[in-house]
Amino acid sequence: MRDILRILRAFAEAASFLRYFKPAVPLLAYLLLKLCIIIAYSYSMFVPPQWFSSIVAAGIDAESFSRYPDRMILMPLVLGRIDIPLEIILLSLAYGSTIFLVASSHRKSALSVKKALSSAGNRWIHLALASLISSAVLFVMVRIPAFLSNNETAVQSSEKLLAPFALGILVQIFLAYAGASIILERRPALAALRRSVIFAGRHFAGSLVLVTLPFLVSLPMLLLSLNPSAIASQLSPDFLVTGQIASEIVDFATGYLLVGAMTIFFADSTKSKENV
Amino acid sequence: MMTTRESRLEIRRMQAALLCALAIATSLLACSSRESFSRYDAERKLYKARKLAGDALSSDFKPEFLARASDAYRSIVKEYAPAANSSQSMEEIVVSAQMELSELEFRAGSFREARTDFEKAIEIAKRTPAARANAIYSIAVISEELGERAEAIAAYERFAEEFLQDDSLASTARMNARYLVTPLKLADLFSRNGRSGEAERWYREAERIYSSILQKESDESILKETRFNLLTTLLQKKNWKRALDFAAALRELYPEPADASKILFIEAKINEAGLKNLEESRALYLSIADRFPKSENAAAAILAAASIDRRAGRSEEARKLYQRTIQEYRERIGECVEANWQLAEMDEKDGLWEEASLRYKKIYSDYPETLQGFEAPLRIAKTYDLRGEKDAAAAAYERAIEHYKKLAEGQRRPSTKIMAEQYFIRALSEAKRWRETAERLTKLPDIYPDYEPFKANYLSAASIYEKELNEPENAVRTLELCIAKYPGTDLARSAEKELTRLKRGRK
Repeated sequence: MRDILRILRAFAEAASFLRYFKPAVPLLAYLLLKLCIIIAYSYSMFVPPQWFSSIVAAGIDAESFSRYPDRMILMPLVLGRIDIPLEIILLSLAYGSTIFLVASSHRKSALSVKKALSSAGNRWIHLALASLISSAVLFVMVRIPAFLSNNETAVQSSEKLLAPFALGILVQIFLAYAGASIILERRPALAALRRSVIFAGRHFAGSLVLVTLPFLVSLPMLLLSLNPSAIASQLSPDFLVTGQIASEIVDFATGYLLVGAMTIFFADSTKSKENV
Repeated sequence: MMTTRESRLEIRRMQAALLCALAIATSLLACSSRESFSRYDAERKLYKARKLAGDALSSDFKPEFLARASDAYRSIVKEYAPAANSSQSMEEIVVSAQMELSELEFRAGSFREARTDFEKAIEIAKRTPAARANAIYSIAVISEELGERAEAIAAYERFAEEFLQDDSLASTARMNARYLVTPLKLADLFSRNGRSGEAERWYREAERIYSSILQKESDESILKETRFNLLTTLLQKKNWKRALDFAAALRELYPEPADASKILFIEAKINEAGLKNLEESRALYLSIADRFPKSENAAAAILAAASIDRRAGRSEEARKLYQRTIQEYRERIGECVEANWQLAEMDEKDGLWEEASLRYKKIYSDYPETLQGFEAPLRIAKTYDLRGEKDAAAAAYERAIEHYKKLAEGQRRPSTKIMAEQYFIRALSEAKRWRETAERLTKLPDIYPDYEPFKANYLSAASIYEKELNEPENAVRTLELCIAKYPGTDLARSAEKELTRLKRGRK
């Protein structure tokens, strides 16, 4: 119960730092990049080469990217696939910088965005490796319900959907603190992942709230993105652009709150070797 | 703390990064031909036009929804038609827009506008044979709907010349097997125009085309359609013996219940209407109901057998068959109501008026939107009138008028409400309630402004004021209203003629 209250206070504190704007800058820059990608996809007629289509949208003809509404309907799929390397390479860096900035705001010390980026850049390889391993584990967990729902009846698939889905949440809980450990304790990636698992085990209740609260906020956008063809036929394919932008904004907000609250909770619970 | 030099360097690095990002974005945006942009834009507009067409369809073609959809399609054609000449993909989009506009107008009942737009589609669809075929054929069908036989013949002949030559038969059959009835349509139209020589020529052409397809084609669905077309040719030529033999052969080829029952029905019809073998025909009809009770033709077959019995004077057998239709085929509304009607007529003929009137009442209360349901109330009132029962007739007319009024004012399809209004007028006039008739006639054009026939109501109302109510001044006022409302039309010219005659008569 104490952990849950501390997590809730951490969320509130992280949200309060937004009045200084600075802690949100790295994630805001990442959001701007994503918005530029959405706009470039929607309003350019760039048709990717067939090899790109094969990797990103297997089984879909590259010609579809130059047809309406196919291009719009493919957008969530294509951008979702592009997200994977972007998250590993860039988002991990943005998260690392945010951890530095939130930690320094929590300790009421001054730290510039440039310095936070530079320090996170020094730990980037570990951040990226931890992100890659976390993504791989989550990818496997997400594939299991998709595989089962293709082969089972609706009733059975919904039951089987819950178990791997719960596992996915658990994976996120146990790997949530890896970034904070890499930045604040200066551990390498694998050690940070181990540390995260032990820490989350000790503070399970609080960690559960930490992961599920932002997830619940982003759930409507997740459900909206599940069937772009249905959305396109009910509303308009152009609405998918609005939906995608809204989804990115929600991801930014929930991502900042998750990282911010996690950093504060971790920093308070441990003796961190923050060496900026 | 950063030095000023370091700050400037930092700012320059950020500016360089921004410029790189802009350059990448610009080259991405430029990475497409103008034609791709244009085609993509056209596709987007076509998608939106289709959504508007869907809205028009679900709103039952409300004028504002229909106008929006039509405008969307027209603007696509106007904007992209020039580019269609130089690009196959653009032509497909423009032709799709034009064809969908035409089809929308057709479905909305705007036949003349649809025909004009199909003509435009033919001009645009130079490299799209499927669209050309559809457009020409649709012009022919619309002309038939409008009762313009000469135009229909011209369009069907144009279709035959372009798509029913020996080298184009196979591809035309694959586009749509129904196109193959074109020679039959032409033969039928010439026949109705009294040009039997031309009709005969097209029957021969139909036989030649179908025989050619049967020899060369391998697609089973096309072969089936062609065989049935050949049977239709023999029937239309009234070549009964050959048709009967061919039908029997088809039954061997297509033994499935749906096909076999249909073919048997045709054989029964040939025996009844063609060869006048009524007993043979009756046996065949009943065999359909016994062997294929769940087929679509079963109820109609029993009715046909009952009709043969009735004509032969076998009333009891006829009654049993009508009762069987009602009991075993409750879901077949058309057949049930016809069976009830026939039983009512038989009761009437046998002097059982009370039973007959109860049956007519059942028809109009259980099946109000059928033709028999509309006729029944007036049938009751008229019969009471003919029997000299004036009070009963007056009460029956009152009930009929209330019934039609309720149908016209209720939540029903527009076509049902229009029919109810027409019967309402008929009931009022048969009950000799002339003032109400005239007043209702003049209200209807405003209630149903899109229904053309109601515009002529002013002439009917003026005639009632003049001849039945002896109120020439009201007749004049009605005609003047018609002229003011529909200036420059044939209707207004007829009204002017009547007005001149009335004014001359008053002098």
